[in-house]
Amino acid sequence: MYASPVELAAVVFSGILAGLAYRCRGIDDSALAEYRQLSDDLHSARETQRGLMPDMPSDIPGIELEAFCRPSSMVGGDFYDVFRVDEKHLGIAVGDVTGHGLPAALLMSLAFGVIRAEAARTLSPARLLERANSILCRSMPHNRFVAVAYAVLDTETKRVMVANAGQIAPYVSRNSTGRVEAVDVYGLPMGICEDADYGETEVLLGEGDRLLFTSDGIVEAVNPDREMYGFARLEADLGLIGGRSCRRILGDMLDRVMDFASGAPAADDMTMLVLGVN
Amino acid sequence: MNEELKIFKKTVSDVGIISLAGDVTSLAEEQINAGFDELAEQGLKKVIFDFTPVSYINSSGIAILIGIINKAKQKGQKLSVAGLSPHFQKIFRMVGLTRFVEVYDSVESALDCKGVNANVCIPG
Repeated sequence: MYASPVELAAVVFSGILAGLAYRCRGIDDSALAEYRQLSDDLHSARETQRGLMPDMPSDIPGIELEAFCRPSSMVGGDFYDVFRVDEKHLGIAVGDVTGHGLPAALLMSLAFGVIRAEAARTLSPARLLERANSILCRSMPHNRFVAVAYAVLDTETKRVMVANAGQIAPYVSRNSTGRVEAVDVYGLPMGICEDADYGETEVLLGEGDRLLFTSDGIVEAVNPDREMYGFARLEADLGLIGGRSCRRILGDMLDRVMDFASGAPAADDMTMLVLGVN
Repeated sequence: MNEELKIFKKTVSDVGIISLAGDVTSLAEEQINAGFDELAEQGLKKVIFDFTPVSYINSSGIAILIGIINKAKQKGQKLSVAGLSPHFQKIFRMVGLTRFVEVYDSVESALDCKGVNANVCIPG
């Protein structure tokens, strides 16, 4: 039995549609599988990144430390680190790699490792930044850099030496006066200029004083009217924290920033670390 | 936040002025570099970046400007910035950029130090 040309065309057309549907199904399946794999990888990367940032030591007499790091996407470029340099000294780093997402996360891991490795070689934060910068300059891609505030705490004298490679300046909240002071030490972010030099400054912490490190995602948090949280609000809010525990300070400060943002999505990672003397 | 960047170029005697309006982020890299390259090729002695209508510069934006500073240095050109908000004046100081660029409150004050007054506008 012969089919008419119209019937034949209909059969051929149905066959083409069925074939296309089958092939599209294949594409959907493989795209979905790739998406799932990518999603799994990102979750693993997030967990790995979280794992790099340590729990705060709680066994140093008179010292309290708390920190949080909130990436604006699944993984981020912000980081913090606290580690023992020797029996008496603690290294404290708060960093921010340009951008966010996976490229920033990869560079963050690099910066994190370089700082840890170099910290064992010097107690001077400025010299550490110079050495780390020199190494990172050889590895950083075009238009990427790492901003890092790095401090070394003498756990006996409570003297902190601070150096800064392009990070938001740390603030000291003085318990005795209620004053909030920016630690006036600045320098180029790492990864730009191989022979960059850095200065360092001393901060002596007294009973109840707090030293707070932040990334630019905090001061540049915006509300739906595109206003920035900014330095003035940060300083005013820090002026209200006197005497509070470091844990409570972090919670209160994050609440204040999120209240200000009023639901506007974070454009950048947010990191805060508070060092307190009790 | 992501307000698309607009860029306007003009020359005042032997000074180039690049006015930016919008957000300075990684999305603006090509535009800013092209704007600078175009003025730099004219052999101008000094280029002023006017940030007056800019409300946001993220770290990628800072990275773009650092790249421009390097280019200007290679070409022997002086670079100034004008009209930065107090917030970004502070950020520029913190990232050490004030060691490499002159910072002025306005384009007029940046020009005054050069003593030039003619104004030829080239739309971007």
